[in-house]
Amino acid sequence: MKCSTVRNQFSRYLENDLDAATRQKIDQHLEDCAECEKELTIFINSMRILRAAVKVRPEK
Amino acid sequence: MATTARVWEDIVEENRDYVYNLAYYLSRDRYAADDLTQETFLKAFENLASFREESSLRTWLCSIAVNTYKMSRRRNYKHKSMCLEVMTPPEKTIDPERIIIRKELQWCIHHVLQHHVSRDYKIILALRDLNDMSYEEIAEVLDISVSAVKSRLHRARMAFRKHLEKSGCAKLMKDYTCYCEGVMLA
Repeated sequence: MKCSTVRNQFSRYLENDLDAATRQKIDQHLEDCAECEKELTIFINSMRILRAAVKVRPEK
Repeated sequence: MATTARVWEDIVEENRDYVYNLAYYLSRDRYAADDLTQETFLKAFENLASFREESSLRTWLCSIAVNTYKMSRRRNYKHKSMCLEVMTPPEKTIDPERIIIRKELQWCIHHVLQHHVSRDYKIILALRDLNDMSYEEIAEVLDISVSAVKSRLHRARMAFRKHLEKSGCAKLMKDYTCYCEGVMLA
């Protein structure tokens, strides 16, 4: 699998939205490719930051 | 008539915070979010008879909010910096240092959404990652296929991640992860 293909699947990978075979290929690629693994870590961190945004309520 | 008014009050009460949170992340500040929320409920009230329950009420309200936002943005766009003071810290956080980092991060998130990603990306990030809508609900709101939702969402997240780093928030990202139950893996 190409790095670009793997990186394009990051969202679906994290949301468990891939079939088992594709997921396995990505897992294998991540084990072999340190750059993609690093990219995934950065992507996860930015997602966590976005999702940690405060739920904003109207002021009373 | 009194019953209709009561039902409407319940609808507003149940959905106001949800719609406001979406409006806030689409808007430049709290004032604009107030306006967008108010306009959304006004339009919903005026068109309540046309609501056919093919989608959930929440999805319908979000569609109105997104379309109203798109229209208002066309009418009145202006780039305006935000004020940290208007940010609300998380209620349960008590560590002052953590509150400051949280506030800065909150500012960064809002800033990147307002000024560094496209309108379509901001909308889809607000719906999915800030308002927890399902792919199917988002597809209804945006009137696109679920498959298009998934691919646009991924591009939006990649853009957000790139600009979060580029806009000077990288240091905050690093600091933040130190304060967030060991999020940083590398």
